[in-house]
Amino acid sequence: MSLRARIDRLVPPEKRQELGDQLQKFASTALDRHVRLAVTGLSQSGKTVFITSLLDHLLSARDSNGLPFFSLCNEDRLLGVKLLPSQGGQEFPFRESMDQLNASPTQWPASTDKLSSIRLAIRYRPGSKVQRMVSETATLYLDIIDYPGEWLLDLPMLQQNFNSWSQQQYRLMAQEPRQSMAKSWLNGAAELDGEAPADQSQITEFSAQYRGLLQGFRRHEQRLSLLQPGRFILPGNLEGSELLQFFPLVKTNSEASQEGSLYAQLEQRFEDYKQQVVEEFYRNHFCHFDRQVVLIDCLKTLNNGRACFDDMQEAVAGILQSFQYGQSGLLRRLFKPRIDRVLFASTKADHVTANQHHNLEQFLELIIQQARRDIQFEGLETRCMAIASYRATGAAEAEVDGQVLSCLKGFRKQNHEPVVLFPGEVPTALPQDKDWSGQRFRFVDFAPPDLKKVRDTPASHIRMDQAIQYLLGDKLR
Amino acid sequence: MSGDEKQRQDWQPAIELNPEQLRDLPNTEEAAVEQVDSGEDKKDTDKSEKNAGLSRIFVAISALLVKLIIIVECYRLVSWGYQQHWSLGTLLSLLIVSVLVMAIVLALRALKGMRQLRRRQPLQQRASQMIASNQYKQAAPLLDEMAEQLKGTALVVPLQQCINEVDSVYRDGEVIRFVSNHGFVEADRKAIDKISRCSFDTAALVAVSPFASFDILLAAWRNWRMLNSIADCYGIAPGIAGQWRLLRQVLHNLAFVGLSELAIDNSGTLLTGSVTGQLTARIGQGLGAGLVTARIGLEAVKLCRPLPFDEGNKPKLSQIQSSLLKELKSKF
Ligand SMILES: Nc1nc2c(ncn2[C@@H]2O[C@H](COP(=O)(O)OP(=O)(O)OP(=O)(O)O)[C@@H](O)[C@H]2O)c(=O)[nH]1
Ligand SMILES: [Mg+2]
Repeated sequence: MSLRARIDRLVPPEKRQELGDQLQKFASTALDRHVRLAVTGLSQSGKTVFITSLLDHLLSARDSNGLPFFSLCNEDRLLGVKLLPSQGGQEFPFRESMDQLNASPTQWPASTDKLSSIRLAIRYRPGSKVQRMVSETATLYLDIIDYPGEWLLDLPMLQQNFNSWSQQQYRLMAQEPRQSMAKSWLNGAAELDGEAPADQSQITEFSAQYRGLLQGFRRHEQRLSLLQPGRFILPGNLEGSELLQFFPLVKTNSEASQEGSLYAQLEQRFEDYKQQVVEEFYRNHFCHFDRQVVLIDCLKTLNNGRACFDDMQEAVAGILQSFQYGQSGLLRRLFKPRIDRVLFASTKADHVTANQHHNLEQFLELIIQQARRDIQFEGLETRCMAIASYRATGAAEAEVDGQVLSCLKGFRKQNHEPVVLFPGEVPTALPQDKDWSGQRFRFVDFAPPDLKKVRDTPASHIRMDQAIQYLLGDKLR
Repeated sequence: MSGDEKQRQDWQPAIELNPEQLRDLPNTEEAAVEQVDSGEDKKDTDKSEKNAGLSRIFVAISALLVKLIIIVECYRLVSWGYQQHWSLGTLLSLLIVSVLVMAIVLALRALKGMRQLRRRQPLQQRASQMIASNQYKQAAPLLDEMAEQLKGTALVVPLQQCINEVDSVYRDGEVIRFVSNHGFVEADRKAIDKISRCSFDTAALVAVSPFASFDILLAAWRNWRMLNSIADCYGIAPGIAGQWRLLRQVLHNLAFVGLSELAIDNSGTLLTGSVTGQLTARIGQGLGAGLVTARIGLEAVKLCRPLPFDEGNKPKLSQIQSSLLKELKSKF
């Protein structure tokens, strides 16, 4: 008996059609995939703008030439992109951000003060014939969350206890520029006796002062980044809560502290903060990522100097230790997804001239050196790229003292006045102390571009298409 | 003060300028393609030919001899014609002149194609090197040279358009990748189309023909034609000499370079036992012949294309293979 006849007897032809349809349906849902993208970055590094640009460009990708290096568009396989309502929780304010960018005068989206999420469905034709035999179309769901960058700095606290955290804070405060600002607070804290019974009003007073101190570090001309706990700066819905009432205190003796002593009380608050704030944030939002983009504002460090650079380097290294890295095999994914590809992006590349982009990438490598080595140790692919979510400047040339300089032209962020600027050259090695000079760099903040003029062209961004290709390309084959 | 000056030597301080100080930007990309000068093309005559002095002299002498003989023969023929009758003589001389003209035209064309093909390889090599480069604004000479090579073909218009669309912030590597991805879309599509069609024809021919030796001849002829039209897609003038060179290179690459690629390419495809088992032997043979044709075609595309394919954008044998299989199964 031939195979065909045997199959016919087993499954009658009329049934087979139905069965085939069902199989196909099953297989095609198996083809649908989820990618959870971690957009990681300190405050003001450009997360919100990056997410907005990503959504904006993907949503208009089908009918535009705006993403020439995104292979889904190149190969004409993109069928459509749609925003889906977020799965519970606050929705990412995409429309509002777009409205602000399109307002006149144009504005950047406001700094984020709460957590929000968004889901995007990308419908496409699979490129490989094998997959296409299963299904003509497939869908990729992309989940992204946005949050205030300050909160990210809480993550390293998860691996610390009160004592080690306090020691780290005191170490930081023993160095300039923190030292001079913290002097009086440190003097006050030195007189506290950890073993004395806890005095509630004292705790309140010292935590308020500590909070003021952190805010001062942030406003300091070096724009320090390593500020913990993050909620002290941006409390969200925790304003006034007891959870925010603690401060670092170093133990003077090695004996266990008495119940009810100041030290024990602070330690308890620290643990509560860790458990109720940080761990919840981490568990609900930060342990399921597949892909990660780390946004870093290198220009800020160049503008501000050595202390800013060191501080950012330490902050980034601390944060990246909290993520799960490793190859995500199928089995492993079922239990716990892991990040299997990381893109380090130097944002705001439009603040430097195009011939400096490669230098910017090399400088970025300096900042992330240690963190990147750890990640690569896990066998992950990483990449450094200079990007701009939206390109706010144009190229220009000017002659100064007989020399032709490549310049930028744009509009100042604060007042929309036209600016023409030679912003300085990005060094590829860490500058010597004497070279962190005030005259060397001048990266000014630019107002967003008039999006109507550059809409649907590659001129609306810098390398967003290559970033998208790197982060999602292999999931869309 | 002197310390200050020393610092200035390392780096240019940032300055803010007056908008009036700006100069007009030359549009380098457009200029790149327009200012095509033809004086340059003598540079790249093949160096390997220089050391072939002896054989050259030999070839020249024999060519001279052959020419001499032909001229003498022609003269004898014409004078014999005139002896018979003046009209026969005129007819013969007209005939000889027109054959001569045709031969010259053909020879020129053949040489043209060959020269074009020969100039592709250095171009591709330079492009591959540039793809890895992080420099900025150094791609114009390469694009110039490419435009010069493609002058007068149908490829120039889309290429020019694509070059105009190159974004001003791209580095050289990105420029080349962009042009490679977007400048030859039409040509690539046409070439792949031709390959698919020809490989199906070959497969069908071998599958139905009862004479083994005859269909090998036919298939060879079809492949020859395919090479010709692929070269044409990428702006290489058709001609015996060029095509011969192309065939030689294709066969060389298939024999020595292509094997590892084939192994990678085939690993994920459908040629598993269960599928091939269902085919009859004839169709199986046809499929084999079709695949050889497809490989020859893809190799020819690689050689003729002015720029190498961007990573991930390469046409793959497996693509042609599965559509070929589907078509064969539906027809037989
Ligand atoms: N020129 C330019 N400026 C940018 C770009 N992306 C971000 N910026 C600037 O960086 C600022 C901060 O960007 P956001 O996206 O709000 O930063 P964030 O990481 O979300 O910051 P928080 O929400 O405070 O954590 C913006 O107001 C812009 O001034 C860009 O692509 N180009
Ligand atoms: Mg934000």
